[in-house]
Amino acid sequence: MSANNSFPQKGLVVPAEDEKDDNMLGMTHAILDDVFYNIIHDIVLQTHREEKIARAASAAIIIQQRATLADPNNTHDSPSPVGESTKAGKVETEAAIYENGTIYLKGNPLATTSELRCSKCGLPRLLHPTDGNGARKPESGVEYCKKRPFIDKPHHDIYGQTFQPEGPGRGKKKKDMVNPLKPKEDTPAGSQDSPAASPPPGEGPQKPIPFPHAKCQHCGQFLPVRRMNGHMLKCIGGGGRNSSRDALKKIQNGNGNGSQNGYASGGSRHSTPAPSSQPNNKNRSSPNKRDPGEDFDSDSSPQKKQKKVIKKPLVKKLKAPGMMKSASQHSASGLSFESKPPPSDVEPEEDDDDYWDRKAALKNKKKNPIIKKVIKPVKKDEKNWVGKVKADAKPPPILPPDTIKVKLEVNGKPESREESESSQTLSSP
Amino acid sequence: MASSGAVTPASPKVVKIKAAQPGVAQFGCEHIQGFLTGPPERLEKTIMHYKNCLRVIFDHTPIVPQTSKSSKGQVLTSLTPNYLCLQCSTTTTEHDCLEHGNETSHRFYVESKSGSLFCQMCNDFVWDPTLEELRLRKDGTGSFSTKKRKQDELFTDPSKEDAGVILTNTVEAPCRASGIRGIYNMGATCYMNVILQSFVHNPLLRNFYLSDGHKSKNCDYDHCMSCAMDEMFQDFYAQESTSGYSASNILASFWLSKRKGYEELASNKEQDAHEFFQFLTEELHEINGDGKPSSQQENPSPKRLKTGNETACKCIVHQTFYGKLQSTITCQNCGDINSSVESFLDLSLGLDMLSKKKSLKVSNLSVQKCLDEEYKNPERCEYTCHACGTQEAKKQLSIKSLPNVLCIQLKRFKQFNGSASKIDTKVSFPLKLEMFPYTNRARVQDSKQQNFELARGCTYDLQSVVVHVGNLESGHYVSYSRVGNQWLKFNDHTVTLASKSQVLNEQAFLLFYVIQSLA
Repeated sequence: MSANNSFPQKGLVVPAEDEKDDNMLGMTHAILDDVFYNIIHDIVLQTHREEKIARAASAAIIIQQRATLADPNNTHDSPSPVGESTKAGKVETEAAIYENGTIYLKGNPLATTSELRCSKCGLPRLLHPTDGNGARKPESGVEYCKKRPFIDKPHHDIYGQTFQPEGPGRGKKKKDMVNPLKPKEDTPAGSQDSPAASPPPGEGPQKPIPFPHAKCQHCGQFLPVRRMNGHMLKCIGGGGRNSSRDALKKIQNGNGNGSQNGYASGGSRHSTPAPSSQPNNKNRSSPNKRDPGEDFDSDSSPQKKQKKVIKKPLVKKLKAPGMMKSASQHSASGLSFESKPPPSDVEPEEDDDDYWDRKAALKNKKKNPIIKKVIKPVKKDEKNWVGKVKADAKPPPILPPDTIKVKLEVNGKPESREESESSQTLSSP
Repeated sequence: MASSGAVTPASPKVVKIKAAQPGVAQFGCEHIQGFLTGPPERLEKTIMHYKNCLRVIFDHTPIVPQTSKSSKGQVLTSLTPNYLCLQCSTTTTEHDCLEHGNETSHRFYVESKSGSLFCQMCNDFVWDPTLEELRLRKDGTGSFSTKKRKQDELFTDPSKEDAGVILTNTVEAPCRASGIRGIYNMGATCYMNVILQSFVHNPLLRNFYLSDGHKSKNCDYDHCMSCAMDEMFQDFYAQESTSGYSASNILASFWLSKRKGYEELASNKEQDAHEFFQFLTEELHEINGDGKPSSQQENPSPKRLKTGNETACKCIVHQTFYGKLQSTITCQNCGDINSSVESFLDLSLGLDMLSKKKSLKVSNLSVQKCLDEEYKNPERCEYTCHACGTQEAKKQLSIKSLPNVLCIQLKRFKQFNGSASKIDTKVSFPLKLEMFPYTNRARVQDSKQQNFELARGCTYDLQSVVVHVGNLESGHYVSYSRVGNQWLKFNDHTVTLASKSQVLNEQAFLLFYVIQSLA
């Protein structure tokens, strides 16, 4: 322990000369002195231990490599030096002796061995980081072990990758972003040029660690990793906090509005239907279908509203008649799905019809013979609806909205009551 | 160094020099080589002597090795290290060491603080593999026997297994793969990342998964969490990649697990890291333990396994995290003692309660003080003695058995009047935690007569720290983990170096301590 020898007299804390000689003072100094000494002693000893063991191991590795090379029996293809492979032979370096698979040290490895070798790959270790704090230029022409000292550099991680996003304006403090013109330290092993010294001209500014895409286990979709959790909510969901809450809300609102029709249009907590979705509402929802005895005021008001709004959508629809036709002409299911606004935005009565449509369509697909009878009126309904759309597309037979409603009502009414309720409960998990 | 302890299974009585290993020199220096390779009696005697020296150093009060007699017969106790002669029973100061060597030509000494071997001919400390192993074992576990604690079966001795099988069936991990990588944030999943990072750097879990503890090929559970963990460990320790890891499989398994009591945890909102920790341990317990996921465990409360006799579970989670608490209720009137044992996954330390007490100053709260409060000092409790019916009783909590990895939670989040708030009190925590005072053995024994050997086995090293920054609404989890002696800061996918002081100054939320004999 050379450090100790340089302090034969422990004297880390020395009282000033002009201080009075006081017993207490002297003792305090002595104790404090010893405590400091111990702390430093322990730290030095710890470091010494690590370093000396590493050096001794390096000496052993080097001589083992020599021994494997020197051994004539050993074909060169097994680079991993296993002691047993060379039974005979004695190899000696200035640091160690290799004899029959056993290695003996010679002298102090701290003095005899200057480099550290990796115990796995046998290559020398890079001792200083290539960048950042305490960086040194590695010797050229030497292949180093891939395990490198960690880089301590602001805005960079231990591998020298920057995690700072490029360009200003991404955050509050990004203005003081370091000059991104730093080359990659992370080039694979064997790169000899020191990246810290001179940035290679070919390389542009270092890019921050990219965000990869990951595959969703559930649906197999590839997504940006940052959106994974959000995706899981939709994809797997169910158990989530919000989804259950939402489902509950849906159920409650659906039922609630269904029974309390008074609030439905004006005071409903739902967002009022957007004008664009109004025609659909208008077409299929029938305020009259609500229990007429319950509330007349509220009944009348939506009608007025709809009357007002209806002209605009008509014009809109004219713009894309082909789309509508093609979509509507197909199966009932296609139609019902296509025209169906998201359930949360939907008014309850419309829900009824909608679910009904959907259900019917599903049943239709399944081709359940028993339900065929039930389906018939619905189909009529649909045709009617389709016809209406067509009619909208072609100006001539403009029917006053009321009449359509009545028609719808007539067609849709028979089973809609009971069916709607059941379908609601079915569809909302 | 303990990890490289591939020792030939020698019966403790036969003293042997550590078997030759490729890449490791046989002896610490030429001189100790000449000394140990002499007649076998000398080797035996030396090792015995060294063990004795270590016992003196580690098993007794430090006064004994620190006291020496000078050549004039003067007794001297010093604070700085002394040197114990390996060849006779003399203790010398650093000064007299050389003198003693010249007189008796005894050249090997044992340093009195750490037990390290000093060779006078090298004039340097020597780290001989044979003796160093003894020292480390004594220092770490408090005894020389190779039989470790219950974790022993987790470390299957590689020499016992067929080396050939290992060689042919395994691939050496590249040097670059160090297990240090970030984990991408998948949208408010930092609570998950910090726990996963602490798992990755947990030596027990790492060894379990890297030694094929969970056989993914034979696993037939859909979206098995343990398979996902296995994959993560493989990725961390076998891949050269330095970029982050996307733990999407773990997230998917998490979402799909639908564990009772944790259903609300899976969401795209910020969650409590501690709750996720509990979830993860429980999930892994059920997959790896005897209880299959299909047969839901009978315990109704997921937070704590109430029954103490559930030691039967040998799963990795139980071996790693679970300890046992003993609560003893003593009636103040008749002295009737009622004690119960329950196993614990972590120790939760309340902060708000403590800071209210006047005895503790809020300014310098430490983990030890919190532990004192909960596991050392008895508290009054509401209890009706069934023997005499008095309601005066004292409740004493103590730790019956310590886990290999001790998780301490500082309750930084409290519910008050229905609204949650965060306690920002700074709580200092040590790098080395002595848990012995909180065990029930410490209670039984007289505090004056300290058992150094036992206490040494109850020393924990800090391994990981989980920190919550920010407030409740917009917070973020960051974790620190130790790799060797280097501390690293993990902030989602970025990994940076951290200093010890930086770590110790953080407002810790979860602390993971690993028992010293493992670290």
